[in-house]
Amino acid sequence: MLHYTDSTAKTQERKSVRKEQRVKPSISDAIARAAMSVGMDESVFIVSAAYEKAIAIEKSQFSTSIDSEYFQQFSKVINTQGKRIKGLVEAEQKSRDILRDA
Amino acid sequence: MIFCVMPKTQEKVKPPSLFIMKFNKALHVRSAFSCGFKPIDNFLKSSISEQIKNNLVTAWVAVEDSSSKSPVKGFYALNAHSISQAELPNLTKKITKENIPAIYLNALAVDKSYQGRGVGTALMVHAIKKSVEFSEQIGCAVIVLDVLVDGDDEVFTRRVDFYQTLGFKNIKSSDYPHRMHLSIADAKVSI
Repeated sequence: MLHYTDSTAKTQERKSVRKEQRVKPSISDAIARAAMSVGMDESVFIVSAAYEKAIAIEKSQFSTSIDSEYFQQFSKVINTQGKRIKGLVEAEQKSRDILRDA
Repeated sequence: MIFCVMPKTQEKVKPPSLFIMKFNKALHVRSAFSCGFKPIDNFLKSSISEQIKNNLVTAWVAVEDSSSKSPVKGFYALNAHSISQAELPNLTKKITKENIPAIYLNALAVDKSYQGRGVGTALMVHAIKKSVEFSEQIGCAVIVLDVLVDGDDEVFTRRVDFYQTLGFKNIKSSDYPHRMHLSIADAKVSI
């Protein structure tokens, strides 16, 4: 059996807020099938999946996690002396008069 | 919201002249702003004030008039970010925990009335300059952004080309396939 756990289970709060959505029938069917396949109540499944996604999106705004091996390479590259980027130099020259500090 | 919008037309028209300033909820009118991509419009209209209030982002806006109420013609938002290495499941291997401080270009967009006139590029350059300034005060090594994916492959390719021209490179991460970075060191010597 596929394994999926409720990502909200550790949050020690009473379920006091009600959320209701209208859903396209085929989407609703797919959600119901997936919830059944992991033996989970449909509403718990929906909230858990949405919560996981919410956390991931919020996290992605503030951090990027990369593979350890690539991280070492990445660290080396950004610690080298800066290179003049022709395109950036030109963009700066071209846009100089467009924005004035107020 | 972590996207940047690019104009769909080439920059041919005479460049405009706008003022750039820190976003001020009381002064900068957002109701008419439309960049052609609704999630970004919504972000400016509904979320940005809250994110600023919570000290999560800072935002700059381009306006025609700096002294009175003026509609937003373009904007960008930045927030603090970090690049970290994914934890390995092998517990016997010691991993030095490191984070690379970064600045995240959260959103950048131009109102339709100003698209194709170089305002997007100017905002981008301004955002990079601001990031360099911040890096001198708090220490920061890279600027990070996500390339907008809106279903138009041709425009997506143009966006990637544009960022590459400015020196951005892809971050190799399966979690963020469209995330790019520019080193502050490169930005410093270029602008």
